[in-house]
Amino acid sequence: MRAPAALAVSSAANESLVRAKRMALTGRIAAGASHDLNNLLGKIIGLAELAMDGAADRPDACAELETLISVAEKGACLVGRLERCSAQPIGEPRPFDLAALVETACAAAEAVRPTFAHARQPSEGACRVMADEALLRVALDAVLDNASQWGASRIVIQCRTVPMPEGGVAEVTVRDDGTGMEQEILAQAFDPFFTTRQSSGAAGMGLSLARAAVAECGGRIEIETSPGAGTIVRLALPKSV
Amino acid sequence: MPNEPYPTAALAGQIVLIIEDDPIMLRTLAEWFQQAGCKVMVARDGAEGLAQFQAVRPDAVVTDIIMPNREGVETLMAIKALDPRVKILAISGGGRLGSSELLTIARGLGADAVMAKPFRSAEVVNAVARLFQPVDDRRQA
Repeated sequence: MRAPAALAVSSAANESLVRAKRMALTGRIAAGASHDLNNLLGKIIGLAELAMDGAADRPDACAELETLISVAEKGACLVGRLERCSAQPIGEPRPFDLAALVETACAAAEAVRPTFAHARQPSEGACRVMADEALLRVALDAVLDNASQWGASRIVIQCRTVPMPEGGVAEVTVRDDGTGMEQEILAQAFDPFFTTRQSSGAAGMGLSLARAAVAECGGRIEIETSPGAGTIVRLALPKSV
Repeated sequence: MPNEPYPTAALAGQIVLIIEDDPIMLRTLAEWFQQAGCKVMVARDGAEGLAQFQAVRPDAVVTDIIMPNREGVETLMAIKALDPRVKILAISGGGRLGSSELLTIARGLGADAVMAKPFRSAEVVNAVARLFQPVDDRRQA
């Protein structure tokens, strides 16, 4: 058995790895928008310079325009950092116990939201998965966080194996008793930067990160929901043989 | 402080074709190169750019890489095939591959210089002016 200090170090290292994977995925999603962002910044800089030519006899206006250009250039540095994040390697798939990962993710979620119940049901079958564990943890964190945001009082989580002709998948189901979603909300739920909670500062990246992470793991994510009936999120993942 | 004056000597009288699908960027680039003393032609996509090139044979081409109708990489390959001596600056804001990868591809396919957006007027004008300097002077610049 490992000493408590060693376990704490290992847990901190795992959390750090999950954060790194989350940043890499966020970068990968955001880098898709880098072309548009750089073009917008290029136009801001270009038009500001042309305006400076027309305001050469007004030093105050030129100074404001120079500030505008430097702000746009800082924006370009930020886009560059996102592109560099997106270049980070994602990781090799390895076999691991899905139920153990679910337990870790639920415990982390309960540490953040102590009053929120995460009911873990016994697994059906041996749920060993072949994937990048830290990446899948990013997806689970996002799904658990999302489930807590829809007026739910309880989240029920279960792992099971689903036999398939090609060898089967391991599935984790996250079911909440919240308000559920209208179909038009559901249609956009996986879109980057889509959120219904803009006023509370939500970035709208949770489910798009979850989908990107699950796809990188070779799996798929589905949502079943209707208004008043809660929401079920299913993550289907390649089973380890 | 007003913008720095352009180094017009190398560019005065040169014909520069600018191929860029964004109208604001196209207008901005056109004004910058006119201020540098160039004769400027503009095209809004690769197909129009190639047609303009064949009709006028400019001294230099500034082309965006991601464009509708005919992509910039395809356009610069076609232009270099028509005239290997023409100077080409490829510009890009990036995309799925990221701006550095796209511009590396453009350099490998015949662009004489590459530049990632966004940039300032002096940067892009100087980049084209350097292409007209003798090779020894370019090394010192």
